[in-house]
Amino acid sequence: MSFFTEENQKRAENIFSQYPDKRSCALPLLHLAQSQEGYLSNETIEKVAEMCEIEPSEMMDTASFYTMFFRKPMGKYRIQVCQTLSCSLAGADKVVDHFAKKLKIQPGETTKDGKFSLLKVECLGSCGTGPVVQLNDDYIEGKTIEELDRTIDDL
Amino acid sequence: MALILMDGKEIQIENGATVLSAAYRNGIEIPHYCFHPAMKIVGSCRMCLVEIDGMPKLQTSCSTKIGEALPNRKIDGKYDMVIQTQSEKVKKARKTTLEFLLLNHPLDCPVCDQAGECFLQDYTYEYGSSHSRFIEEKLVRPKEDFGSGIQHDPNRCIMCTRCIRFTREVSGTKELHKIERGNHNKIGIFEDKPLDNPLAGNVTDVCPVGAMLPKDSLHKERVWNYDVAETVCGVCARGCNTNVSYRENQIFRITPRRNMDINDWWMCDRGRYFHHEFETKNRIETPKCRQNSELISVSWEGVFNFVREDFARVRKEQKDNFSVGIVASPFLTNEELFTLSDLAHSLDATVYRFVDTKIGEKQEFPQGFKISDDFSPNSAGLDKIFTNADDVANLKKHSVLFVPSLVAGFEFSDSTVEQMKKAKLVIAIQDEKSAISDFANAILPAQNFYEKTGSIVNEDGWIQRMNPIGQSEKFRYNNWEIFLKLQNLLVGKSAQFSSVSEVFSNVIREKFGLEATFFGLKKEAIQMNGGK
Amino acid sequence: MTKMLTQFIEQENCHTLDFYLKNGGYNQAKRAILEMSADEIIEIAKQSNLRGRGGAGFPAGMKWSFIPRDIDKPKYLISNADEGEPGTFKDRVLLSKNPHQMFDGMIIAAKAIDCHLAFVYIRGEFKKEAEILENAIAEAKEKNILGKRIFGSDFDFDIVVHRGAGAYICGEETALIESIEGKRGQPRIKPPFPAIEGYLQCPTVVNNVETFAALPPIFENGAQWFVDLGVENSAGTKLFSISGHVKNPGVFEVPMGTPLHDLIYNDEFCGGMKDDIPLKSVIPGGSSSPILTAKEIDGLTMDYDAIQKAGSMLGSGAVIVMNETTDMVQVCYNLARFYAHESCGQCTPCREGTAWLIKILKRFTSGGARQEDIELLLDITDNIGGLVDFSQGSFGKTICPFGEAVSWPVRALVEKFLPEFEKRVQEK
Repeated sequence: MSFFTEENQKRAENIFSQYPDKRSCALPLLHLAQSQEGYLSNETIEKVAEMCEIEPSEMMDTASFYTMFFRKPMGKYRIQVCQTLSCSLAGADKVVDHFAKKLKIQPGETTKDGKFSLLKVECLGSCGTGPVVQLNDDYIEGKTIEELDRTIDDL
Repeated sequence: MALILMDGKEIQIENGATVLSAAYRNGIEIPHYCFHPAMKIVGSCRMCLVEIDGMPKLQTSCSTKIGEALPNRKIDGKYDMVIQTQSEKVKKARKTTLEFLLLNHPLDCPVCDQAGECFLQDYTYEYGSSHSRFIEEKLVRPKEDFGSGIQHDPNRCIMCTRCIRFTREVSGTKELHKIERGNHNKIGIFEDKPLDNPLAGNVTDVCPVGAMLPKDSLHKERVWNYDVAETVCGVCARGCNTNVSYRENQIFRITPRRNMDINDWWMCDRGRYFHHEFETKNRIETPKCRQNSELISVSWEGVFNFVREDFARVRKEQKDNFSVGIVASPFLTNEELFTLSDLAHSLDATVYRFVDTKIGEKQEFPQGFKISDDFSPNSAGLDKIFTNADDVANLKKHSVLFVPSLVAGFEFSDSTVEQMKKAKLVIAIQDEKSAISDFANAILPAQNFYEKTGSIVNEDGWIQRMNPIGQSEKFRYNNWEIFLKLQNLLVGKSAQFSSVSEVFSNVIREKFGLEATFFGLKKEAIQMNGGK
Repeated sequence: MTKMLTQFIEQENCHTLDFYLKNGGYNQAKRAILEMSADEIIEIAKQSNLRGRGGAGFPAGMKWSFIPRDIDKPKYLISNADEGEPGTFKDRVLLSKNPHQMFDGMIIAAKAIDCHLAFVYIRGEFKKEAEILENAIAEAKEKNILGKRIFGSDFDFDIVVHRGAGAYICGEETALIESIEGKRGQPRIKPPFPAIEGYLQCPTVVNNVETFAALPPIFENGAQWFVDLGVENSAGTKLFSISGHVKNPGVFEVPMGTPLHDLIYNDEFCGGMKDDIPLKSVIPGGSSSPILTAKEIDGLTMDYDAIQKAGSMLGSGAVIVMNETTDMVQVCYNLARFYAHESCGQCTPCREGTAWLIKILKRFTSGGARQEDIELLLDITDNIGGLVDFSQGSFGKTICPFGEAVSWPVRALVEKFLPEFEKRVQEK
């Protein structure tokens, strides 16, 4: 039985059809696996390694390099606040402090109910609209703390 | 050919050679960590930087290749490359790279087994600084068990990745990887997949620092106290070249010694740890003979008298039925086999050979390192010296039997042992007690694997020299001398060899048709089948 | 003012194939495939003096010409959409508003190097943009612009969108290649260069998104037209991403050689300093480029030579503007922290040095800085980046330019705003 759901298995097959070799599919498959599982457990990494025909150790070598791959469970909503220069000049530090206080967690932590994770991240590539917050996959750009609050409260 | 100028010295070198190899071949040391001649060049430790004319950045000498320059690009009209390995820029780069490497290093040399053969220590002494400018807290991470008896200390690790590349390129087993990135980088194993391959121990040798240590010898001895015997491993028919580190006749560790014809830089774990097989309480220390069904210790004179008298008695008793059997084995050196064959010949003995040594699995690794399926060191030598010996499984009933010892892990089959028991007189030449000891009439103490000197022939026909640990004064007789002595004793005459070198020259001439000296063999193996 | 990349981005559906085709899209790709030889294409690119828009400024035509022709290996083309350099957000505009123009350029380049499979390496966080690209590829395939026998020729060409996963270093071309190969993004030691051994050891060209997007207008209007748009050594228009303490941050397409003052103060661009607090300093070409003081940017024009003369570099065209209230020690810490976080960890000086820098700088921001730490910071920039004196250039001691990229901003900040650092020493 495949590790992926039927729909994701089709996606995986489509990925394999696009690349000239299997290992090159590592990043797309890790993304797909993470979207299905929420994070990359060792078991997941092993499964993806098997699909790419490499050792789990080699897949871990790859997966652990990239900050977007989580190797522990994350909250349902990841509040990722950019802290690099332009966003910092635009008040990103205050945004982090605000959410830390509001959610009663430190950056890097997840709320007890598993709903929110607060993460400080480095440059998200949208420096003109700081402070930038990436809520799961979506960019929320140039919003005040009050506006951000409303977005979070509606979740 | 290219002409280069390195530190003012003119060097002719073939196109395509690296700066690092040109330096080493000409006596110029360039410190390096990540470079290992068996592995892919990664150029990441940045320790081997040198200054090259016309290149504004310092270059890694491990990866920079030398090639002939176009005529109009030659420096001073003749040099293809001008290199400085000792300039101020180079010295500063080395010093600061060492400073970086030591930032988070625990500086625990007093309790580190690598001390004394640590490249971090050596290079710091030679190129580094005596004080650190780092006043911050060091990263501290726990030691880890990587499996196969290897302990990893991430705090001492310099991330040269030799160990990772070893498992990817040499053993091909790929257990090790890097985890995380940047300063959080660490060598790791995947959850429940520890180092598990027959060559795992080599990662402790390729590690230039104390980050990968064998638990086997951990904290047992400081390396500068070791004596080292350069010898050849006897656990299989490959004959990997090894260094046996010992002190006062106790072996602490065995490490591989480079030989590109046989084992490259490597050895297998079976050979590495095999010396423990000899750490039993079964060692036969003194000659013994059986009196009233009791084995009692006697002097060498005592045992020789016993053998002579009993041999004569049995011959007399058996009359026409008298026969002698001798068991040869591939665990013996050429010199031992040679004097044993002399003994056999003079006694008109039937010779048997122990043949069941192909009990291993033939293994070949990605770069060509091999483990033989023959777990004895000298089958090829045995074949040359005893051309028509019968399988010991066909052992007949003999009046007198001479049985030299096998090696740990090997035993004669029960039926062979039963057959042996039928002999009137069993003379065992043994290093350890075995099933034979239970019924042997006389036992002559022998040297084991690590104690004897002589030559063996590997499966590809390489004749190599085994060297003993320590001085063999512990033994009154070398094994080959025992066979000579027995011949003298029982026949009244024997060849007069005064040294193993002499036996070697004779066996190599008579049985192999080669002219060679034992001293020469110390420097270089001889190919039995001609060629190099 | 002439625009060639962003002239339509305010218009509805500007990202669609229909829109692009209506405005003359893919005519140049079609011409390249059906009518032009590789040599002709490379010649035009060379004549246009189009320099790589990702940061290094290497001439694109020259890069293509390094691809060997007479070998039996596939050749690969990669569009670098990693957009990782802090301050840079220009490519995102092209990817989301004008993806077909990049593909158009990629087809032209593919013909030049005889490539049949290309990748767009897009930073992992740009998931929406990756979807836009994938949709655009599907549209183009339907119209036989991508896929088998494109434009009815016998030339096959496919583009695969490959998402990164959060690693700045993957903007470096060999790290990017490693990343597509499914490995950690560690830059390779060079030589061999990607043109000889790139993706899967095959010849590979990596160009920035903006570089590819610049090709169709160049091929439409001619190389000389492009050269004339800019100034000496800096041809064409360029996208500048301007962020920081300005009224209207954003991406602006202007000809090379436009005065920085105009970009910051003119209403059609940033419209002046936010809250009218005076300008203190500017990072002109992305976080790696040495910072310039208000005095140093006086009269500065935005082109390769002028910025280099001023002691910095054009880089990716990412301008970060800072006002009088900015704490430069904090800026230095912020940037050093970014680099420590992003160091791949391969080379000793970078792996250890970046982590050391932030530990020292942390003492400057939070107490405990010593006078000798200033000298130490500067010395570390030499030990990682080979940087002693900007006028002498820098000669990094690491495999890739990351070592220099961290050393430039740190050294420039410490040297140019020394009193602020010294003040922290006294404060302890």
